[in-house]
Amino acid sequence: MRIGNAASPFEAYEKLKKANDKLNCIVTAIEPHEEGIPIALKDNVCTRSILTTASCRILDNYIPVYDATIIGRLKAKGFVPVAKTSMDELAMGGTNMTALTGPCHNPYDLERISGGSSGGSAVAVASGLVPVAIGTDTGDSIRKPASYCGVVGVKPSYGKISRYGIIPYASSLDHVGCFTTNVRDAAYMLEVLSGRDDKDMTSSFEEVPSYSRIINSDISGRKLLIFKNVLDEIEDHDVLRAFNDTVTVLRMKGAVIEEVSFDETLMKAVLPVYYLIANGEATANHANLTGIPFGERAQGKDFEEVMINSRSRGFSSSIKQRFVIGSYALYKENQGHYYRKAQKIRRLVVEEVMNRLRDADALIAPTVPGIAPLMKESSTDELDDNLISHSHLIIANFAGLPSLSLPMGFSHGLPLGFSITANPFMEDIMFDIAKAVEEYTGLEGQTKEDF
Amino acid sequence: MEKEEIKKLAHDILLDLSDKEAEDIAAEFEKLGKMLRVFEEIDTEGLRALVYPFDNETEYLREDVPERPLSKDEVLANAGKITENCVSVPRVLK
Amino acid sequence: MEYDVVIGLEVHLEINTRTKMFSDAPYYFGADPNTCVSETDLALPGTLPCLNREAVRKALSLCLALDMDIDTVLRFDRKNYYYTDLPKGYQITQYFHPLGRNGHLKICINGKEKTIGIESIHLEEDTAKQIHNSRETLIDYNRCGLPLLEIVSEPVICSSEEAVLYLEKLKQIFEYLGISKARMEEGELRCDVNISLKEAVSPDLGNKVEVKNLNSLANTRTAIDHEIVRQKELLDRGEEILKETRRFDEKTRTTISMRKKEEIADYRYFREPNIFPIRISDDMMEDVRKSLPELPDVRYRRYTKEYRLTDQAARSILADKDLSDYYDKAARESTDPKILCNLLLSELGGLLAKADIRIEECSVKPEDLAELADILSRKELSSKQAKEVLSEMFSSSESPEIVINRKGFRPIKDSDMLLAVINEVLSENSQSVEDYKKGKDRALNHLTGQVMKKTKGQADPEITAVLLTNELAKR
Repeated sequence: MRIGNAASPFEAYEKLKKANDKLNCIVTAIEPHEEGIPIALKDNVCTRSILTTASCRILDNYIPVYDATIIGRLKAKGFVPVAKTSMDELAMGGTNMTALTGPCHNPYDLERISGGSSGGSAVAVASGLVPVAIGTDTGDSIRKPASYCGVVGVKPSYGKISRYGIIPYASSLDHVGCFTTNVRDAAYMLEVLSGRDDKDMTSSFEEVPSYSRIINSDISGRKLLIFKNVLDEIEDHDVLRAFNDTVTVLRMKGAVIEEVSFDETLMKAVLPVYYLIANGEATANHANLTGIPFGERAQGKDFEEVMINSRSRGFSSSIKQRFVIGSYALYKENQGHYYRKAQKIRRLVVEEVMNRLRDADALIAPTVPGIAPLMKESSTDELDDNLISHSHLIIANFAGLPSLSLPMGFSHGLPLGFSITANPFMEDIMFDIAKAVEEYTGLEGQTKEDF
Repeated sequence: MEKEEIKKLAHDILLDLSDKEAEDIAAEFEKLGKMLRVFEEIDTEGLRALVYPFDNETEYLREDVPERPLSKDEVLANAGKITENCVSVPRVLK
Repeated sequence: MEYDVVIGLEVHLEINTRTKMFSDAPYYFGADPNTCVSETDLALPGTLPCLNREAVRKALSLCLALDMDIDTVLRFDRKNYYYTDLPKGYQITQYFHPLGRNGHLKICINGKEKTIGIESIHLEEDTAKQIHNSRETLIDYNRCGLPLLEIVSEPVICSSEEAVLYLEKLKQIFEYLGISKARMEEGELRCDVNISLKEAVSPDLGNKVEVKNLNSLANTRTAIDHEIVRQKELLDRGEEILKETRRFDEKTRTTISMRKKEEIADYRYFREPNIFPIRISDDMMEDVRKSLPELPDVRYRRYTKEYRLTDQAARSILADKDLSDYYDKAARESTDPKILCNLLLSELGGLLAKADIRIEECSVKPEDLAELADILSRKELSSKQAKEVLSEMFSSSESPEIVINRKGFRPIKDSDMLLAVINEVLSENSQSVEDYKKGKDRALNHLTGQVMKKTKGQADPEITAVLLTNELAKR
């Protein structure tokens, strides 16, 4: 399914409701009252008068009184929201198993995870229910589910798409992006979504080119860096074969391919750095969730008890865990060893990668080291595996780089993703390379529609 | 880290923890501690923290022009308890 | 035992912008509850801060007025704590990089000048207002997000008197800069006092006690005085002063402990990631510098040096910016700023006080007061007449010219007319004439008085004096 030949919003709405029994990918279906292009929104995009929960119990009854900036931009281009999609609680997760509404299922195998945190959006697009869905990406939350569900998932440079009205995870790492079934649609969506927003002080003033018009699969002379540390870790032969075959084709199309190994210690530090920064910012970002001016309020004999009870009941144990650790990292006596140390290593990681990327066009790697895991084999604890083949995606968030994942093949009938990360504000080049990959794989517009 | 210490940390951010939750967090701290050994191998002496993805500065400031605020109803729309057009909480004891 | 008192003041000032520090919601003092609130003020999920240019400009003007070192890159931090009046769960402030450092202002204590150092000034935001009844606390978010400046003095203040003088001087500067009326009774200016005592002979500083949220100058004075006595008594008894936060109780007029320092939270400050560093452009800086008004100290010098006003007169005028602005307008039109000052302070001041109105509501135009001063300076009116004229001007808004004409207060300058009156007087007062000849100066006064009486005070005093002396010489 493509944006150009999408079903009507009402049809999409009906199909979504039906398919949801099996996929469990949406939180709220929105009955559309106008024609246009149906779109699904991750449930952390604030929508006026429409329940917005961010998959968190304390926001279970929360109805925003204002729209996120991107809602205005989408509506102006004829998009009609038909669903709010499932996500990990407060976007803090990579499996979509921590969603308040329960795990979201991978359309290629219902026993497997969709990946998260933007799992519901990935699934809605992958199963052909909507041509496009909005997601957010703080570490890999668009690109990982895109890879697992076999769709295009893109996050542009930091500041390109306004974060105003997006319930945050970690402000210095949060990016808004989207899922589509093909690269050209992704390029078009970036035109629609991007642009300066005065309500977001980190919003970029960079011009937004007509990506979908200038997109060009001619990549001759483009310099692509293979992320060697990632590949060194991967054992899955299907992944390696699909990736290497794709690279071979890119080389044939004239790209200059180089392998690059980054400092292994720094790469190993990416996950803990991310963990400390993201949870540190998150604990403060969500200090507004007290049940007082909004949100589910618990009883208590004084205001403090009301807040404590509302918060203790309103968050899952794993969120509490992240907040406690994030908060710990911010104490005056701890910052030097934890939060600030992490920010300094963030600088080193960014410099390490940018020193090479600056003289090249993109960094490429398999998005994740394999197919979507089975739900019963998935851990929701990010610290369980410190694998560079997973954590490499976070670097694009550290450095605010445009990054996408697109399908590169299958293993055991499940999709595999190809990751492309470009220099800041060089989305056009990222799309050109993606287009070249897509022409080779022939997976443009692919969906898994049996629902 | 001790359970009580963790409960105290949680209390600072207004969270009550069950014993199980506190134990799980203690285990997570351990896991994190091990992972953070890699930090010791990285010399960050004299480095500035990277707070944002880019080291850029802006000059933009908002003009001091009022826009329409939320209506009273919108302000109170999601509040758990309302008295006299204010959000009400049980008495804050001094 | 003798102790040195060491006081530092932290002033929180609401500045009078049209919108809030980080949101575009307007604010009106006294507005209905929860009608000046944007989604950002309420900390609704997904909202982001957006810094007010005018707030920065006003803060800059204060930094310039206090001669501070200015950090031209604005950076903000989060101060994390939970309270019902703080919906975000953190306050955006400038903890690590305050806008201004190392400023100073001068106060005048017992006729001597003393410089009070200002450690720092930074931008932050106000909290919501809470109204308590017997069972519940009601939250009105209108005040939430209002721009605040925190002004931290160095701990160099030694008495309640100095503290009050410092606050008064600050208030005067705020008013001259037009950044705040700083009305303490409306909470526009709040003051926290840090106070410690140290033994005069010892280099060791005593433990610091903070008294929070003083809402009037009188309370500030009382709280400091009380705290000095309290700490002195404790020290004299050999007890230790606890590091703690106290508040002033208006009923008992004493300070009461709120919390011990050990219990004071770690605010887990960290950089606000939603606001990139903001470079204050040279243009903006220059613009603020150029639009900086004349400050009270400069005016004082002008008043005392150029206009030769007394110290007290100059201070009286400067104490009220509107009065000073009025005086300046009038002084530009007048040739006698001293007489003008007297007219303004005693005569017009009296009328204003009687009618209970402020100078900006006064119907007498500055240029009219200047004209009256000049007429008086030329001795074309007696002071008594001037007073009468001004009183009419005050009620009718007429120019002095019109009032003088109507009253017939035109001085008689015609020599023939005056000679006729003088000779009449001399004939009728032969005894006085003789006394004068014998050298009794008092007689001349009497005769002048008689001339004035006969002319209903309209005789030109100077001409009369000359003519009278001449006529007496002839006799």
